Amino acid sequence: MSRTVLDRRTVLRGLLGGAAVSFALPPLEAMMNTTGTAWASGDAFPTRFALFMWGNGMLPDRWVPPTTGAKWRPSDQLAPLADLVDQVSVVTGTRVGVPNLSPHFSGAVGFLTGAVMLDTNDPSTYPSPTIDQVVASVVGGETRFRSLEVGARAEGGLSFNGPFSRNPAEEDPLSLYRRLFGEGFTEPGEEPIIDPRWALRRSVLDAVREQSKRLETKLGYTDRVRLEEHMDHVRAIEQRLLRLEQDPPNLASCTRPTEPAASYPDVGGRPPLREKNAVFCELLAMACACDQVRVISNYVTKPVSDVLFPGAVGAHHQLTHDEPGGQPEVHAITIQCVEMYADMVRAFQAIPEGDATLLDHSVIMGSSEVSLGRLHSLDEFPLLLAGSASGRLKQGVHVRLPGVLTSRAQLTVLRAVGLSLPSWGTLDNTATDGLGELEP
Amino acid sequence: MEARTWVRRSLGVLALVLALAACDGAGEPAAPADTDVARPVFSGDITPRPPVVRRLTATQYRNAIADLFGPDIVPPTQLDADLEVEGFTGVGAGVSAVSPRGAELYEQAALDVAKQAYPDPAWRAAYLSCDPEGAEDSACLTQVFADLATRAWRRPALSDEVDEIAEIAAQGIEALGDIGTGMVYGAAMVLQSPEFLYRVEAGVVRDDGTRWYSGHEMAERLAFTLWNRLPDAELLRAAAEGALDTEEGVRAQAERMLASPFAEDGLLAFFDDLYDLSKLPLAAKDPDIYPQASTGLKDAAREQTRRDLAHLVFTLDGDYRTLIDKDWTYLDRTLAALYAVPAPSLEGFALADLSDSPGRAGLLGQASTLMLHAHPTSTSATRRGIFVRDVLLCQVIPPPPAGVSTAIPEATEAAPTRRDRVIQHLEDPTCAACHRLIDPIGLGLETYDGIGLERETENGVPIDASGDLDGEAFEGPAGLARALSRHPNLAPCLVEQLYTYAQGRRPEMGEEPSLEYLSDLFVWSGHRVRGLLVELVASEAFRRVADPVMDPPAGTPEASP
Repeated sequence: MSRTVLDRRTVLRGLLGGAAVSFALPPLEAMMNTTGTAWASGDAFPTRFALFMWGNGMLPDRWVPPTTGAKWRPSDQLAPLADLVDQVSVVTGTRVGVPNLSPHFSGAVGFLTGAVMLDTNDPSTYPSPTIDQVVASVVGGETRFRSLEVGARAEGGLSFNGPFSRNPAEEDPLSLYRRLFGEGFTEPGEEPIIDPRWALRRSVLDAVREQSKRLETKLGYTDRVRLEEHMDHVRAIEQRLLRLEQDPPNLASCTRPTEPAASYPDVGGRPPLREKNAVFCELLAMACACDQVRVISNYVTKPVSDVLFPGAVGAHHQLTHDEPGGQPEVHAITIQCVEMYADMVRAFQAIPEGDATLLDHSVIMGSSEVSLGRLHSLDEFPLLLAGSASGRLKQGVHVRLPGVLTSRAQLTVLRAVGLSLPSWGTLDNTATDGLGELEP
Repeated sequence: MEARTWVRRSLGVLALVLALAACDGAGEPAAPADTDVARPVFSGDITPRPPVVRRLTATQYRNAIADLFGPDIVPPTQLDADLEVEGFTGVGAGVSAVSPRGAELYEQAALDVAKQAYPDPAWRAAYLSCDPEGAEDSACLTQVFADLATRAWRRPALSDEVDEIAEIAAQGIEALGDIGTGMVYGAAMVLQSPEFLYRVEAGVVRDDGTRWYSGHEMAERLAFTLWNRLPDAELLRAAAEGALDTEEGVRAQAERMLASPFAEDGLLAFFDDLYDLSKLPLAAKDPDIYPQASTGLKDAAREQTRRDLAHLVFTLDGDYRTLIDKDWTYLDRTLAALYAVPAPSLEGFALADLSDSPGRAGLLGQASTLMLHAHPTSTSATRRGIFVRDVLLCQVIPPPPAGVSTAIPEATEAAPTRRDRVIQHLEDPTCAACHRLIDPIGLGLETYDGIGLERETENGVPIDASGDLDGEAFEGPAGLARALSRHPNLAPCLVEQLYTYAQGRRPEMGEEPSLEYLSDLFVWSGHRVRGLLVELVASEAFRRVADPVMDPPAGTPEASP
């Protein structure tokens, strides 16, 4: 696809809905300019970006670790990270600097895009691509899958390309497994079988795109852009089929994982979130190890999720508002969320890559859409960063920066995975400087 | 966005005027069609809006597969999830973009479907007009794929388009050495074509300069609106003959279509979307608190509401307002147990007379409504109230401001009931502006718990389910149902929701005359939904369209070089 086309479309996404604009053109332009050169050369292993999101926030009073710097002492809520303090950096005190007009959704949009919601009544109007897709737009073309989105109870997930354009999260581990490791996957060392059907599929897809061009002349501007976007995805499938016919990457740690169970039935009316999440994390880690994908996001639960967590007496969102006092039930649920984050970190840590691990060549950004759920607060925002992004991010420190914009930490992360962005975020949420505290 | 809000808000005022004009006394049935009240006439101007290009919803896709390949083909289980916008997946279909994953799923679905059909000689014999003898039999391949593309794309396929598809199939036959397996790839092209996946209805300009949907576009609009599926041969024939270019022609087809069993699919697609019935399986209920809650109960609850709607609209052709305060409903044994009434049938669903349990059989007393608009562990007066305001009365309530605690206090001895606990909403001025409009409605349903079980007390204290709906005092669910069924917004709101569903977008400024006219007709006809469907699809607003907007939205920066 040509650069011009992508730019025009990306720009349009920032403007759909007629909102007066809070759109960061300069960073995206810059991002385009780096295409293909973004990854540090000289490192045999690519750097991966992973996002881990849970719904309904945490309890800031019990979240912030009592010590800063290296060897930070885990707080109550970060207890599940006790054996990972050297791998996980914690940023506390920062705030997402967008107007908090729509409970949960202003925070989700503000954190994930850096920008302000287009329409406060409609949570699907993301003004610009979410952070995972910003990374994918630079590095996604290198692999069989541009990005992958999953979530044990994602209910759609929060990965957006722009307004009304969601990358729906997979909720079924078996379906993800088949997509990744089913037809078309070749283990290193296996002789790839060239299937004559792949060429036929490419002819079909090509014919679809040709016909689409004829249809486009009948469409108005917005729908034309929509259809072009669809056809870009069709073209991506064609390219992927071509890739199948080439040799797969020869990576020592790449193996076909065990096939997951077909279903994960509720236990006592409660979905087995942790079990399902663990399976997802193993599949995603192996997908990275096999270099099928470099950008993944994991939406365990969604904003305003009313899922019943194992052991909880009530629905998560309802508890954040109705549970009195110190909210022990909410606390216990937050710990479960952090445990699932820790599971993801461990899944990445378990895969050796050269002298290091997959985790060392990754960053796993963990957060939620609010801090204190009860008040939908955007201050004291939760932010966990595991992995060193191939040595470009300081691992294992607690950095406390009250009142500083969270977007500064995000800018540091984006630069660490290889994007040369002048800024991240819009209006009052704009960061032009990263956080030196996170740089090694 | 503002325009939409303006229309929705203004409808409240409009509705009041209507109600005063049309009713002899508040709450009495409107004058039936056979009295001497004159049929309303349209006045004002039609302001056509630019076309909405909709993707097929997941259900429409599956229905279309059954139309094209027969009922024995297993439809794809996974497709790009529908996106809900403005409360409707039908609106989301007009703005949502296909995701990268969605494109993959379309490819997989097309291949999965075609592989079940073409390689099977029995299927080919039953569904194809000829059976190709091999890759070189282009006459037959062309004919077969012309048939498929014309039906799937809802318009005559052009010869060069068909040639291309037949060529792909011929390639497939040669490469794979099997006729049926090779044809799969021709069909896969038809099913992945944007002509199948999108409804492009751009209209054609007539001699007088006005733009109307073409006959084939009208066929597809009628089919998806009234049946939620592809046009049948009869509709395509009517389109080709020009019969759908006139109001009479459209009316005749609509009458025919509403007499078909498929009409239920269309009606229920609308109500499923409007009432969020398809979300029932996701409505979590804590089994420790609600041991009766189960997947079976949720499925039964959805089926009950669907059957009631179909019965009211198609069997009885009854007054829409009775949906709210009727005393009959469909029940199976699961629901009868929940409602603590005798099951009307030992097997499946049957009509039950619930006149002994007032308030129970109407929409608000149904398990589907009560489960959907509650928390997993308790009721929610707020959620139930918002459902009535937003969905049934078209009064949009904004979300609470962020940064405000929306906690309601725990039950205590001094404040044992939900009413006692939410009282803060009504006392705090920040909350009261909206909650005054919401909570009293929901509190009227407090005698039903979070899954719809009847209860008289909460924490040992009798429940007070009295309240007031916009000036009309009520007592309990039955009283609330009566008050709501007389509410002046009820009928025009349904008209607006149905209009939104049919057009794939909220009404916009300039469309008030059409909405007013349709509301007038609806009231005049005795609130008959079936008749409203005919009037809606026959109206100029449904048949006319403005030019597509070819320029980028104002303010779009120039593309970088």
